[in-house]
Amino acid sequence: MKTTTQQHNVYTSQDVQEKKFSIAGTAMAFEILSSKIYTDPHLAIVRELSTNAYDSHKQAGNTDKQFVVHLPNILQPHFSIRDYGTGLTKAQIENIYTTYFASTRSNSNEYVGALGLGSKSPFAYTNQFVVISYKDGYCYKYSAFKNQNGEPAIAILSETTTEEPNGLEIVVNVRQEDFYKFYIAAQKVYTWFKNKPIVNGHIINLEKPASLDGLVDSQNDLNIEIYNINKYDHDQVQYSKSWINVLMGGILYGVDCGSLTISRLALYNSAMIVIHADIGDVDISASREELYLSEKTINYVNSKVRDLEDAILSKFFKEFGSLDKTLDKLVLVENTKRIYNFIDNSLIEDGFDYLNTYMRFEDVGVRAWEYEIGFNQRIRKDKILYIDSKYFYNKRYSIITVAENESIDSKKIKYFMQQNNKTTCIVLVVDDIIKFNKFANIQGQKISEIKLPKIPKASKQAYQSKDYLIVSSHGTMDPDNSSTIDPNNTFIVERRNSTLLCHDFETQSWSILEIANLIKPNVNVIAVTAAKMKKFPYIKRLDTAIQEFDINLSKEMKASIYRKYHMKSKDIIYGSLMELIKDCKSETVSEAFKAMSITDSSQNQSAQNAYVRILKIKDIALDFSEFIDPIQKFYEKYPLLCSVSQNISKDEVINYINFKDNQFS
Amino acid sequence: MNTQTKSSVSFVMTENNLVLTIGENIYSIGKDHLNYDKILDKIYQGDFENLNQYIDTRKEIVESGKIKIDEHGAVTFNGRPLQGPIADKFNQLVRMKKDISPLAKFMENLDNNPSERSKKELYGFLTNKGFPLTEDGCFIAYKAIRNDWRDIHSGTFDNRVGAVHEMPRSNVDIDSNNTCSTGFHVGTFEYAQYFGGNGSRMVLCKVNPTDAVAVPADHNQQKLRVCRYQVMDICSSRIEDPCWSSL
Repeated sequence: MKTTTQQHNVYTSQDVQEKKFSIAGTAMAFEILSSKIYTDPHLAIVRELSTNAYDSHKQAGNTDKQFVVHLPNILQPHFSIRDYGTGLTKAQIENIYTTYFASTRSNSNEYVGALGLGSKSPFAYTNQFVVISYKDGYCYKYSAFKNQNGEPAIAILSETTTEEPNGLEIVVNVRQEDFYKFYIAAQKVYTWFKNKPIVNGHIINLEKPASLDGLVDSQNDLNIEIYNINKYDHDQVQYSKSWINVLMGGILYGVDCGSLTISRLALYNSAMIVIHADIGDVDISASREELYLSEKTINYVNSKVRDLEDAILSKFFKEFGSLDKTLDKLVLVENTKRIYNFIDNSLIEDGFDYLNTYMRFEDVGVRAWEYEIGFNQRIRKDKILYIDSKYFYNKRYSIITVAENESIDSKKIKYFMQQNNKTTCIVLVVDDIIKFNKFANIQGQKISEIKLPKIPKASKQAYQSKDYLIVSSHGTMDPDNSSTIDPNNTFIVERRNSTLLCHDFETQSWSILEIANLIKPNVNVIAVTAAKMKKFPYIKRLDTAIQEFDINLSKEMKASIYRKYHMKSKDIIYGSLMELIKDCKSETVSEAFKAMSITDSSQNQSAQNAYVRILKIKDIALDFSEFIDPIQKFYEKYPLLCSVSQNISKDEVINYINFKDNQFS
Repeated sequence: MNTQTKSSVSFVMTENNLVLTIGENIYSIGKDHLNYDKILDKIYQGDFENLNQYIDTRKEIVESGKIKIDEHGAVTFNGRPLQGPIADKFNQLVRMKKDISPLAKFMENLDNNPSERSKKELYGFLTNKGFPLTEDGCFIAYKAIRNDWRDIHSGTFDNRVGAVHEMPRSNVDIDSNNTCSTGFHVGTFEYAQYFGGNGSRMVLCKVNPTDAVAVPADHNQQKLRVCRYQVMDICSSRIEDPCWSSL
């Protein structure tokens, strides 16, 4: 890059004698120039050495070839860059590395480098590094190091012939605690390189953030890009902390927006702009860490920002005028507001203020609800009164409109959302179609009437397929009934190789098909339970299924399934015992049992049910003798399960219930 | 700084950095090279013949499970680079020349955790120090208990060595903003010390990363909510070793 030094007009009388200042080449002076000018030495090394490699490729006419970077790791703890540029002769190395401010590139804007400091940047981090030059069949290997006095020095260690192509390789040892800093530095630098290097030693993500399209005409010569970025997202920290950035010579410089004249760009935390500048358009500081805010720099950035504002505004008004639906205009305004701050406080048309809208859904003939699926797959429903344009431009939302007379079934909406991978959904019930159509064309793209899908009967589909198998340990599982299935106790077993695919879902849902869809969309399933389920033929007992589908389940796996079932039955038994004692107003279980035998059962249906449940589950539980080991342990721990007819006191049952309620630790 | 040229070996040694050429090859060896001290010893002894075998460290480590190491030393699990505390653990194992298979198993167990959010939060928890791995790919965390072996909060769970406590995952609160909620809690050594206070014991608990559910937002990521743990031993100090064995 061309460097500029100002000419000064100075006049003195003849008797004035001039004595020039000079710089003492002390260790301290070198220390300041090679390390103290950088606030981030890791980033400085990556940036400086990489731009040198880039320049050298350019000088050699080799810009298509990638240079090779090695990031440090525990087995090879060094950072290195091998370029395929011009390489340096012995004399050049000994001159360039030993002379600060010696640059071959300060007279041309072809190159990024200019000051003759970058090649010494490794001294900002280490007291020794390796320089290898491949030049016209010779290979020179140097150590650059700080000598006893702390002054930089260079020594040739070997000189050999080579068949390697010309170029330079710099190797810097890295301490283990700094590996990560080099990864981040490499991400920051190479993300914006046009011709990205080959990176070895550690995998890093060099993808640019997603573009924010549609805000300016694509046919523009602004040379400005707008990116969608979330500055709170830890994975995006490598991009930039600044809203406005200048990309020059492959390096991104953040602009301190405080130094600009007031801008209407409102980037907040969701967008960043990158101005592509030619080398020399702006000035940079000696460390090249930031822009040098000279008049030239400020004027350049200001004029680019103005150009962008004009382009946004002209595109906005062109489009706004061409739209005729209120909703479409609202969406356009919201989209533009993400990046442009309308200084006028209102944008009124036909009495509707697009910048400050407090319009109610009622006003456009609609009733609206917001549905959200939260953790544990529970669905929440809230009535919403005011139109917020975010519903219409934010892709997070899915909009369903239903005619007035169609019933809204939460289960169907949930199923629709799960099918479409949505967690939030707006349901509009259109009461006044004329009013609504004026607001938004229902046949248009923004809102379309969606027929809610019918929830498929999981059972029938499942029974026809033998591809996948769901084994549920929950005795009362019913795939078509939302309230009873507990997928947290559900295993999925892939039949082909009988390996455990997944278990323990964090979800409550109503059908087996739905659970399967969470893992593998459109998979067909068979439901199997440990309990006897004659009522549902598609739910097979585990042992039957194992036989029928020829599944090779380990004993451990089977035992695990049964054990889970046991935990559940234990809860049910104790719950039922409590109910029984309460209903019979007795102090012990045996008393309650006695009471059951003399009380008219029709008068105490709930106690009767609890009683039957206890006997039934106990019966099932005792069926598991095949898997005696874990079951035996279980009984040892919970002996009461085996002896429901014994004298269990009310206190014991209450203790158990309290114990369950207190599952804190 | 010493510069020396002897036959085909030349080197420059500065504090913590050594650059040497052996024949045509040049090596840059920093303080964090796995065999830095050995290489230095050899140089002091003037024994340059076997230096090569210490410089190349690739053979010092055997790949395990889905953990792969390429020729440039890049380490991946299932094609993804190791991150944060996992990378630190790997580096610790390699530096101590230990088997990395517990880490490979740990990663597989972690992959089986059904919640991405839980996995992310567990990473945060593991950035604290003192969580050795077990051979079966679990890790050891700390838990303060009452003197009668019962848990401090409810006094109902017996935490004698060998006890296993488990509850359905759905019963454990996944929301890390609920700082004190349902689920079993384990923590760092420091947290367990603080939580237990005087008159408490501390036990080592084995936790499978599959069973990690949430890291509550209070106490600076120092406690972890799980749906299952096993009490392994009583504990008196923080374990610094990367692996733990009951023997």
